[in-house]
Amino acid sequence: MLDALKAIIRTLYIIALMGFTLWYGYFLYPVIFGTTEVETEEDFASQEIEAFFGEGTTEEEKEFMKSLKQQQRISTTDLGYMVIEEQYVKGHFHHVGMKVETDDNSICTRCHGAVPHDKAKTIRAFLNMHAFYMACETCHVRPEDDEQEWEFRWYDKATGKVVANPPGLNTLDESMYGNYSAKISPGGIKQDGSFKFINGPKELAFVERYLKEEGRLDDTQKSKMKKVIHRNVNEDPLICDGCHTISDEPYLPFTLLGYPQRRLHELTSTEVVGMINKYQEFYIPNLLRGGGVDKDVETE
Amino acid sequence: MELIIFRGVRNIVDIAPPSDVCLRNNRPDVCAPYLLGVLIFMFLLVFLLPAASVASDDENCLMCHKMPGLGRYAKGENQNAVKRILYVNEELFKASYHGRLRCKSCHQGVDEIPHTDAEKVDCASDCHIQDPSSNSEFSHRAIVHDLSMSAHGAKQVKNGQVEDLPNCKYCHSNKPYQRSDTDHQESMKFLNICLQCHESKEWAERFFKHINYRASTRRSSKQVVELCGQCHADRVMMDNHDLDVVVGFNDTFHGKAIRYGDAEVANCLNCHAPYQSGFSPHSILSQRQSTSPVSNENKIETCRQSGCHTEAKEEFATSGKIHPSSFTTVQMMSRNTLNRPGEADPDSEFQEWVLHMISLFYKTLIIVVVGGLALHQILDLLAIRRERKLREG
Repeated sequence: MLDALKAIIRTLYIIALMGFTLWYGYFLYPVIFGTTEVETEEDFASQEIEAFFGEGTTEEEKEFMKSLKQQQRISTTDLGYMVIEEQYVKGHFHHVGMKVETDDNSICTRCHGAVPHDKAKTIRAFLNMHAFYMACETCHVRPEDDEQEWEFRWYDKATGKVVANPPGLNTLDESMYGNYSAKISPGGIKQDGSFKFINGPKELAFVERYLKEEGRLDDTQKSKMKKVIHRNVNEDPLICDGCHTISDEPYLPFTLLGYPQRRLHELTSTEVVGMINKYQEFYIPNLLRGGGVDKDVETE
Repeated sequence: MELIIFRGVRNIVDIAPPSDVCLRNNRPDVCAPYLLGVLIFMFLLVFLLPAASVASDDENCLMCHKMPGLGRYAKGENQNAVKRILYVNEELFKASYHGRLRCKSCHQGVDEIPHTDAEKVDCASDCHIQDPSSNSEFSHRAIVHDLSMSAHGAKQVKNGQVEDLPNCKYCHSNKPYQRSDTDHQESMKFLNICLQCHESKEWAERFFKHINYRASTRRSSKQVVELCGQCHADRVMMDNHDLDVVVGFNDTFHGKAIRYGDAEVANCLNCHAPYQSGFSPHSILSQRQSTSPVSNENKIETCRQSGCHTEAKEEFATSGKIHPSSFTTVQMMSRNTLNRPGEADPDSEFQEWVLHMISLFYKTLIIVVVGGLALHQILDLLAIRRERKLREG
C-alpha cells in the first residue's frame, strides 16, 4: 500500500516536472530572453522571394510576391456587435464589409484576372462591376446569325455548376446587390434537354493545360492556340443598352434569371438608361464598338 | 407602388387576390380578410425595411457605388498597380465616423459622370459640416499641418522618397463606431440623460457615440506596435531614410507584456507621443530634436508620466537602451540616441557584448540545469525499472 502511494507521488512529481519544463520553455523563455524580430509583410515577402527566385530578384518579382501576400491577408475589424472580415487592400479607406469569392471556374480570368477591364478609362470601373456577377462570355461571346439565341443561367463561382437564381436578387438590402457568389453565363440546351455552358470544365481543362505547357510552344504555336481559345469571342461585345433598355426584350432575360420586377425596373429605369445613353453618346470608346482604338482609350 | 412591392415579394402575391376581383364581384365581405392581411403586411413592410434602404443619399452616388465589383486597377505613386475599390457599403458607411457627411464633402470635383474631374481626397479641406465648438466649417487642416511638420511629414524627408511616408489612410480607415451590445445598452441609459435637454435623438446619439469612442482606447497596444512596425521594422525602408531599425521592441518588458495581453503597458505612442504630456501622434518628432518626448533631455519626464514610472530616477532613462538590439553588428551600430545610424559607439558595443555574454551564460545554465534534471529523472526511472526486474528475477 505504501509502495503504491510512493509510486503515485513519484509519477505525479515527474509529470508535474515535465509540465513545468514545457510551460517554462513555452511561456517564460520568450519573456526572459526575448522573441524573434518583428517580421513585416515585406520581410515575409522577401524570404519567399529568395526561396522562390533565388538571390538577385528584380523589383517586379518582389512586387509579385508582395501582391501574393497581400492577397492572402484578411482584415478583421471587431465592431463589438459584429466582426467584419474582408480582404486587406492597402490604402483603402471605406470598409467593404465582406469577403469576395474568387471565380475558380472562368476560363477567361485565368489570364485576364478578376478585374479585367483597364483600357477604357471612363467606363472600366463599370465594366469591372459587371464582371463581378457576369461571366465574360455574356458580353464577349454572342451567337452568330445562324445560331440559336443563348440560354442564360447562374453558375456557382466555386463549383462552376448551374445554381438556382440567387436569393440575393430578391433582397431589399441594397448592400447585397451584386454579391451573389454566382455569375450569369450563356449556354445552350443539349439534345438530351440538359443545359451546358458554352465554356465548361472541358474548356477550362484545355486552358489550364495550355498555360502549363505554354513554355514549350514557340510564338507561332502560342498564337494559334490563343486563337483557338478565343475563337468564339466577338469583336463587338455587347454594350450597355443591350440590357439597360426600355424595350421589352433586353438581351439578358432578367425575369428568367430571377430578377424581381423591382430590380428589373431599376435596371431599365430612366435614371439608369438615361445615364447609359449619356455614356453611349460621349464615352463608349470605338474599341468596344468594333471601330478600333479610340482617342478616349488610354492604355495604362 | 403596391404592384411593384408585390411583384418583388413573390410568395405574398399568391395569398391576396387582386383588388379588381373583389370590386368586380362586389363582395367586400369575402375580400375583407384578405385586404386586412394586405394592410397588415404593408404596415409591417414599412417597419421591417432595413434602415440602410431608407437612408437618404441625396446625391444618389450609391446608385452606382452600391454595386460590389465597381473598381479598377490604377497606377500608384510609385508606378505600381494599385487596386481602387469604388464600392461603398452603405450600412457600414452610415455607421462610421464620416457617416453624416455627403460624399462630395471629401470627394470633391465629382460633378461630371464619369468622374473625369475627380480630385484627390484632401483631408485638410473643409467638410461642409459645422464644428459645434466654433460654428465654423469643420476641417482636419490643423492635424494635416501637424503631420506635415512632424517626423512623418514630407519636409523631413531628405532623400525624396515621400511615397514611404504614412498618409492619413495609412493609419485610419473609415471604421464604424465600435460598440458591444452590452456597452450599447449601458450607453443608451446614459443617453437618456442627454435627451432630457437635447431634442434630436439622432444628433444626441451620434454625438454621444463620438465622445464615447474618442474617450476609449481605439487601438490596442499590440495593434499600435504592429502598425508602427510595418515601417519601422522594415530594414530596407529605414536604411533608405537613414533611420534606426526598431527590431528590439518585442524583447523589452513593454514588448513582452503586450505580447502576453497587458493592455495597460506602454506602446510606441505612449513614449513617442504621450497625450497626457500634450503630444499627439500626428506631431511625432525625431528623437534628435530637443522638443521630442524621447530626446535625451525629455526622456525621463516621459518615463515619469502619470501611470508609468513616476518615481524613476535620471539613470533610469539614460542608462539603458529602450529598444535593445538582437545582437547583430548592424543593429549595434545604431543604438545611441545621439549617434547617427552607421556610426559605431564603442561604449555601446561593449555594453551589447556584456549583455550578450550574460544572456548566453543564463541560456547555457538553464539548458544544463533543466536538461540535467530531465536526465536525472530518466536515469532514476531506468534505475527503478532495473531494481524491480532484479527483485522480480
